[in-house]
Amino acid sequence: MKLRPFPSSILVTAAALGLMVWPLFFPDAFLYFQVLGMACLYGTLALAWSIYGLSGAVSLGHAAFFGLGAYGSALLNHYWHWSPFLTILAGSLASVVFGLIWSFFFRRLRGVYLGLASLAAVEIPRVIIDNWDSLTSGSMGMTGLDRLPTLHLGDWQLAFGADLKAQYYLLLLLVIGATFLYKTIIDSRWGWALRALRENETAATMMGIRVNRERTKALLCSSYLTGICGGLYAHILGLIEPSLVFSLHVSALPLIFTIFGGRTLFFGPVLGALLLYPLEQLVFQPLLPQGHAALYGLVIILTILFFPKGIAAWITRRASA
Amino acid sequence: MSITAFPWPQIIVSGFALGSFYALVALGFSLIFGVTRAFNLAHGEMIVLASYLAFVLWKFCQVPFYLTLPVCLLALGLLTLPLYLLLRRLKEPYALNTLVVTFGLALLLQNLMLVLFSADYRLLNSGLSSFTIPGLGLTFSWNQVVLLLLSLLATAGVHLGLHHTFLGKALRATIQDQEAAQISGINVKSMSLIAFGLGGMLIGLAGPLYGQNMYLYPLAGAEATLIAIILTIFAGVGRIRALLLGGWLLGLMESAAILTVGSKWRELVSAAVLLILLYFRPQGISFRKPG
Amino acid sequence: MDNQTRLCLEVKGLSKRFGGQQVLREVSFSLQEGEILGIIGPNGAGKTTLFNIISGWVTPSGGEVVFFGEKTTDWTPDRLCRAGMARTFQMPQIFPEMSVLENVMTGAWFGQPSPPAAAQARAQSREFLELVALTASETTPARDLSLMQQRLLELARALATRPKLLLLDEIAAGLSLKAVKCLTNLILRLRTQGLTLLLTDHLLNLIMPVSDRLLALDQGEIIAAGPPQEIIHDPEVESAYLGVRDPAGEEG
Ligand SMILES: Nc1ncnc2c1ncn2[C@@H]1O[C@H](COP(=O)(O)OP(=O)(O)O)[C@@H](O)[C@H]1O
Ligand SMILES: [Mg+2]
Repeated sequence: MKLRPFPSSILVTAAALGLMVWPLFFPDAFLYFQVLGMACLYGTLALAWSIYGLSGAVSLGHAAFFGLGAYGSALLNHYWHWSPFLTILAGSLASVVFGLIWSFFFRRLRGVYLGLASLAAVEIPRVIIDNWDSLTSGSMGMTGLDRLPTLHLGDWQLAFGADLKAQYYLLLLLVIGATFLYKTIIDSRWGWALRALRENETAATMMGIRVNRERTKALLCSSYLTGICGGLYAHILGLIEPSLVFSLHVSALPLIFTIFGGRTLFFGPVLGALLLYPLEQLVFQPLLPQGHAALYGLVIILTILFFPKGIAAWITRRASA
Repeated sequence: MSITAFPWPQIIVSGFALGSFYALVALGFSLIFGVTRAFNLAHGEMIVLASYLAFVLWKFCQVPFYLTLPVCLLALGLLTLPLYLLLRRLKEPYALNTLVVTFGLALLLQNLMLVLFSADYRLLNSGLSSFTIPGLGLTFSWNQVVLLLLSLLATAGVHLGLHHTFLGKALRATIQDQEAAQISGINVKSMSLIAFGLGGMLIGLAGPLYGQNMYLYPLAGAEATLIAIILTIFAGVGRIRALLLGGWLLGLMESAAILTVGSKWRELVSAAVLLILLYFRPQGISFRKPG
Repeated sequence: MDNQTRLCLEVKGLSKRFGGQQVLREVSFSLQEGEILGIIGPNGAGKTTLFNIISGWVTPSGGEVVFFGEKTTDWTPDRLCRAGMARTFQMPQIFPEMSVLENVMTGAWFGQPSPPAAAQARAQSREFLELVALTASETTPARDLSLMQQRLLELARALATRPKLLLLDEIAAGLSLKAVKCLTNLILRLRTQGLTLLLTDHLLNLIMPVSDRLLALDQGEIIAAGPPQEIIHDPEVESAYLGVRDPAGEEG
């Protein structure tokens, strides 16, 4: 590989190292483990959303994949007592199936209308799960799910469920892996094909790119990763309800993190999540216990108005200037 | 919504009233979208905001229900001004950017309403009673009658205004073709401002009616937005009669869904209708002249 | 390669209706490998529609297209591209945010039957950029190019897919005389490399010097076919261009 390190990849590596090392100095900062851990989870969600975004789609309905992944894992755990990591990997296939259906029915939709369709698409799994009382106990939600398991490495115990620090490291590893995956996709031939069809579908087709197939592949990757985030969420919380996982809020978060962080750079989505989520949880939550998510609405409006390329583009421009 | 299973004639009548109201709900959205091409995903939240305003006036200031209508009408008409200024600043791709920004605005309004009014369900009870038509055995509430009359009145008013006034004709010309309108000397900027103002007034009118007929809570707006989008796609822009027809169809469908599969599945109706519409009309909202 | 030239393209009885309008009516012709065929006709004659059908964008109402012996009427454009058919559009279709080099590289990387390595695709792209003599630097974003430069870019990108058949739709429209001259030389040079070309124009300045044969299309019908000099003096062609139905000189 002819990888010459950019300033931005050095920056990202430094940030990742910082995120790995700080708990050594603050071993009891449990609130921060929890908040940053969730920020990593939402960062992964934003990356998953962005994989679909590479094809030019702006989805307002990723809660559908998140919720299906959550319910898929929860049901496997509840009825068959599979161990959480297995349930997450298998249960998220529900999201992939939904992704296949989505690809077929929305294949002719672009831009605004794809956004509207995705917004409405969430309602279908939500209402079905909400009303299928015998299977999912409906709007009561499912409780008593197994927490993430404990890993025994010789004398070492990594209690991903009970120990917030171990959980933080797990989620940090997840988001680093996802970032790496996202960058690999962007730099690959497939990523190039997605970029081409995003910029001009007619021209991309004319260059021999199978636009529908590439777009579908992007959505399937995106939906599986989103489903995994949903599954993790279910087992971290130990309970889920339709209104919790199929919410507008869940659909909005990856969009907001990505646009705020920056769509054009590989670390933008994660940067957005790592900045905004802690800000919301640690600063806004105490100030406005009821409507603290108002922050997100405000942020997205200001971002589109004042720096539409996101804060990552702004930072790298400042750094290189 | 508070409608439970009714016999068929009742379903038709209440679907009719509900559908007329849906047309009113869609009217403001359709007007703003038609003239400016801006998608306002916060449309429903603005209606709910107007409802809360009416609710507060009625409950805490003892303002009679009918007086809340003009107040909300004016308030929302003015409130769309900042929205107009906000959306005017957006760049290409304009439609998609308005979608994302108003999505954020919807989230912002939802949370603000949560702070101000809490998550409790409210109903604006204007104290009107029900009456029964003897012989037919149909029971109506005066609420429904008011809803039906005001919705039809507003819709007809907009229709007549668009077709028989000079301003209306200029608005219609802008809806059909912005460039041509500009060339023939119409000031498209002021048309946009007027569309936002009128759209806001229609939202303000819909608000108290909404609060009087349906339960009010901060997240209630999403459904109204969905209905506005569905009817606009169904009708195409600037076609008021088609909007009304679509409203009735949707109202009847929802009423029928409640009767046949139960009110829990009603929420699926509008989402499914939108998806089906988009499946068959992937290019979305049409700007064709009335055929 | 053997001496016997093969049939590159056969168009058999193509018809197309759009609503009530018959845009193409029983159009048939064939194209030998290495040949250059020009299609002329006034605006609205159906030239672009014909190209759209051949390149798989539009399904014909009747008739079929055969490309190197295979019936390709229902193939998708991307499949046809990988099989060796490339085209340019009347309105250039570029990747606006990509650089000039990246645009061409997309063609080299995805359009060839067996995809090359990225570095090789990049090297090939530079060759094609040189070939079409695009003056802009290879790092310029394509959206900043002039219309003429975008046409050349699209041509380089089409060539980078290594086509056997290249369709050029009004590539000379709006170009200066000098640019047309360059393009003429380029096309003649491409032919010596064994490329088959099909080109349209509603003006004649490029198509006359390069074509082996001309086909005159009017209102969806072939009204004349033969050597260029004969065709332009054909009375029916003259009336199609100058006659009452379609006043000439509306474009320029
Ligand atoms: N997608 C379409 N729908 C309806 N009519 C079309 C469509 N494409 C082309 N036409 C009509 O077909 C005729 C031929 O157009 P075209 O093939 O572009 O001609 P040319 O390229 O020779 O100028 C024109 O009258 C045009 O209006
Ligand atoms: Mg043409």
